[in-house]
Formats: sequence, structure tokens, C-alpha cells
Amino acid sequence: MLAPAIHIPGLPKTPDPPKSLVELSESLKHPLVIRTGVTCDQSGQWALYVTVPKHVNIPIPDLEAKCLGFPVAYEAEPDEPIRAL
Amino acid sequence: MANFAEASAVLDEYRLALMTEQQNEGPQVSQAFSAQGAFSAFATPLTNVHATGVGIRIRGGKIVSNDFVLKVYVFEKQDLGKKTPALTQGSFKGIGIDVEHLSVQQALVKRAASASSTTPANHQARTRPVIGGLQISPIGAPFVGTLGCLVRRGPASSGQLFALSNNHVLADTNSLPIGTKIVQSFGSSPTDIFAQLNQFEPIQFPSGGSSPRNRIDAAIAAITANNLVKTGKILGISNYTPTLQAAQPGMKVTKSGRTTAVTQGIITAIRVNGVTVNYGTQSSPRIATFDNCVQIANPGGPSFSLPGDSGSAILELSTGRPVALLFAGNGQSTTACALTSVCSRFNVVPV
Repeated sequence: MLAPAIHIPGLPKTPDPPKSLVELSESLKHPLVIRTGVTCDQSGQWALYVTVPKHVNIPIPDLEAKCLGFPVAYEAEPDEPIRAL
Repeated sequence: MANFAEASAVLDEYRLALMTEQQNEGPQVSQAFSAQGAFSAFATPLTNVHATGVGIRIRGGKIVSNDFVLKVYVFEKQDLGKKTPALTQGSFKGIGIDVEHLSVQQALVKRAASASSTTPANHQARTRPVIGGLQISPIGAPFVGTLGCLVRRGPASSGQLFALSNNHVLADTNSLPIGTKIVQSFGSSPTDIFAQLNQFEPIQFPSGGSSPRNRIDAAIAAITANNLVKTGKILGISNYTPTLQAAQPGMKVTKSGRTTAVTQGIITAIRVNGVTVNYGTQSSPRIATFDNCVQIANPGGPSFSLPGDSGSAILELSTGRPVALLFAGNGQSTTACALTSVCSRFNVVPV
């Protein structure tokens, strides 16, 4: 399965993301991960947000193994680069 | 012949192309159109289009079964001859285009008014007093951006007011000197000056092997006379409440900008790290990397932002409270910096 172009999160069940998730998103290194961040899955559980190349199959087992049990929300890297508007 | 799925698959791309062309329709097109006596509810052939969708082709008043096309709904249907825009004739990506007249129903007018009662032209016009959501520019600059909102440093009674936007709007990406005059809406006229560049957070670019990281693209310009501006107002946002709010995933948001006017979207991620943003051109890129970004998308709808919307304040839809400052995008998603970081950097609060 390929990553979706856009991940649509649910509203978080708790106001703030777990500190360990924020630290994970700031320190995570993986050769297939382009950007990291914090989001929620569709049920509102805090999750790790990652963008990966659009041709990559997900889930990525060795990435998820590093994620302390948090769900991972994948997005495919868009074709168009981000530019200042 | 296309089936429903095939036609639906190109609809978003068609809408984006249409919106881009609508923004690009120059004064010559507008004048040519108005010269035909067609200047009415719309200004140009493409702003005559008020809705798009997918439907079954109708030819000569008869339904053509199983042939799904892009439906383009216009205020007034008329033959423009050779001036008919390419986007409203023939096909798009192999999917046929049907142009149909569809009058705007009264209930829809009311609904649209509550969501967005402004057009891009409203945001680009010279407006006094100056409020958030309007087009601004450094004096004489060949580019424009958006005034996000007004901010204040110091006590409510005597604090200094500033216009808040991006570094790349107010300071032309680290280039303009402090004190540069800022105009609303655009041009070189001294009578349009309402603020002066006061502070900007420098955008760091890679140099000599370093890979610096940025957190905000922001700047403030001091208001030159308080009677030129009005606090507590953002064009087209009826519930603007100038109290900071933290961005959250899943939060529905809105913004008011000079190119796409008032649009809505959803925050897809926060604290996003490693966002590379091109401040140059496609052929001569100038890349800066940002952390702690907020990402917004508008799945299935028109783009949340386009060039010129930079500097817009992004607000929680339900409360009108500001959460982020728009500065980048790619047509699919919009990138913003957290407004708490911006206000903390300049020691200001939204007003």
C-alpha cells in the first residue's frame, strides 16, 4: 500500500501531545522519512506524522519499531516542492 | 467517454487550474470582456464561473448516458467566440467539459455569505482603515503579500501598533532596511503608506557547509498613525477574536488573504520538522529549512492558499482565534508558523 497524499486527523482526545512523542518526532532518523511531526489518527489518538517518497510501501516495519507504540500517520511527499507564497 | 471515477479523478486538478487562471486573468482580459457589455456580477470570463463538479453530459438538451464530464456552472452563458477561455471548452486531461448556466439560489447565497462574503478584488483594493486580510507591499516593490492581523506591544491604552506579516513580504527575505515604508495596497504613492518595517526574524540559508534551521518567517511594521488602521477586524472573518490559540491536528481553520480571499481547511499536522521551502525560482532555487511548522490542507476543495496569500493569519474556524501565520505551500498543502512563536519573538499580542 502506498501512502495517501493527505492524512486527515481526528481531533485529539487530550489537549497536548505526549512529551515522548514530541521528542521522538524531533529526534527520529530514518532513510525513508523526509519530514516528521505530530498529528492524530482518525480516532483522535496522538500519532507520529511522517512524509515518505510516494513510491514507498507502507507501513514501514523498522520505522514503526522505533515509534514507542505510537501510531504512525504517513503522507506521500508531493510532486510539487513547497515554495514561499 | 469517461466514467464517474475517471471524471472525479481530475476534478481537483481542474479546480486548481481554474483558480490559478482566475487569479492570472489580467486587466486586458477584463477590459476586453467588459468592452462587450458583459461586465456584470463578474469581471472576467473565468470569474463568470461560480461552481464546478462532475455530471452526466447533456448534449442538445438530451442526456448522454454513461458519459461523465466536468460541469462548469456560470452566472451567464454567452458566446465569447475566440475569447472563450481554453479551460471552459473542449476537454481537460481527456475529460469533456460542459458549460451550463446555473443561477445562484438565494439559500446558497446566504450560505456563501456566512462562509465568505468577500472576493479577491475586495482584498486587493485600497481600503481605509487598514485591517487584516488586505493586500500590502513594501513601497515600490514588484510583489505583494497579505497583512495577517494587527498586533500590539505594550499596554492597551498606549502600546505601539504593528502590522504582522512575513519576512519575505515586509522585508523581501532579509533584503530591505528597517524603516522601509509599507503601503496598502500596492505601488509607490506616499499617500498609501501606513506602516514602516520595524523588525524581522532573519531567514537562515545554507552557507559554507552549515545547515541552519528556521522556525518562523515573520516581520512586523510599525503603524505610522493609529487612525489609519482598525484593530479587531480581519476582512471577511466575522468572528475574529484576537486571543492566541494553540494549533491542533484536526482543527478546522480559516484564513483571509489577498489572492484566494477567505478559505477553509483542516490542520493535518503540527510541530512539523524539516520543511524545505524555496524562496527563489524553479530554475534558481534558494532553499531554507523550517521546523515547528503547522500544515493545513483542504481535501476535496479549492486550494487553501496561493501566491500572494503569504502573511495571512490562520484562525480557528469556530472561534476566530489566531493559531498560525501562513508563509508557504505547494497547491496541495499550506505551511505556516505557530503564531505563539511569532508573537513571542516580537513580544506582541494580536489586537
